[in-house]
Amino acid sequence: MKNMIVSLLILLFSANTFVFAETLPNGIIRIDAREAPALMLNDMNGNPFDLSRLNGHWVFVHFWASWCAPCRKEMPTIQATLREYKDSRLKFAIVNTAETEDAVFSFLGSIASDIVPLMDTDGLVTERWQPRGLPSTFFVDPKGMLRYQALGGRAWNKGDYKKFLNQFK
Amino acid sequence: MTLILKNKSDDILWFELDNWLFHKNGKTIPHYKQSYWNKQWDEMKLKQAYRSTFSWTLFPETRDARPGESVSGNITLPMQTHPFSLTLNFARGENKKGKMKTVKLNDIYCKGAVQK
Repeated sequence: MKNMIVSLLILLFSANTFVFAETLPNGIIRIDAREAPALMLNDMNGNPFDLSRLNGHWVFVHFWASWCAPCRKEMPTIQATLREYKDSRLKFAIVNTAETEDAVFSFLGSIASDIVPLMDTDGLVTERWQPRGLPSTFFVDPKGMLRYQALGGRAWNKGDYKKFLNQFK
Repeated sequence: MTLILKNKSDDILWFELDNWLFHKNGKTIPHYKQSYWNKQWDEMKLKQAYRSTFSWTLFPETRDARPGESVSGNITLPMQTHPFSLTLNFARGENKKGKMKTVKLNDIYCKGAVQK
């Protein structure tokens, strides 16, 4: 009986920690699990953020810039998602790549005013993550391993993408 | 020039600028690589943030494109006063072992710079 309980706990833990979905939404790819690069930045209000402190949670890590047209289109869907998952176990790291506070403030003020982005002021953190372009979204599992990547911008608050995110909350 | 390429095939395609040829009347037109820009920026002592942003606007020098994925960016080359061609060679498959795909685009010209 004790062995059964241990096995069940291991099974539950594995299901919560690793891969959930066998069929992925269009444009989401699996990554051969490797440790997520460090992500330590200040947000636009000056508050420090360290990805490693979110161990135990899935994390939506997103890189964007206001000059990138697909980023502009995607950002409202991210704001809607942030609102919906505010109190869930899914956490968010929204990283602006190499722009000034003025540029970010005026862009987000009109498009997604809830978002307080992390400021990668010189762009070097973004480069370390090696996105396939901007925008780019990674999913980091509760052990700090990269698990999925989105190709380009996605409508995160709709259809299959919403279902995909629901698995992490 | 700005390129937006979408992989509409069912296989991985490899976009490698060294396998693409800009040409005119049998002569190759060299394009400026990232290393060219790095040298310019070093000389200008350009801030890292500007380097980073400019780099993201360039078409990647080497990238795989998954089925359905779009890749876009700028490729810089000297202004051309006559139409030119671009031959794009794409390796295919996860390990680039699939049959090479070639596409040729003719009569590309720089808007406002072509001499008739």
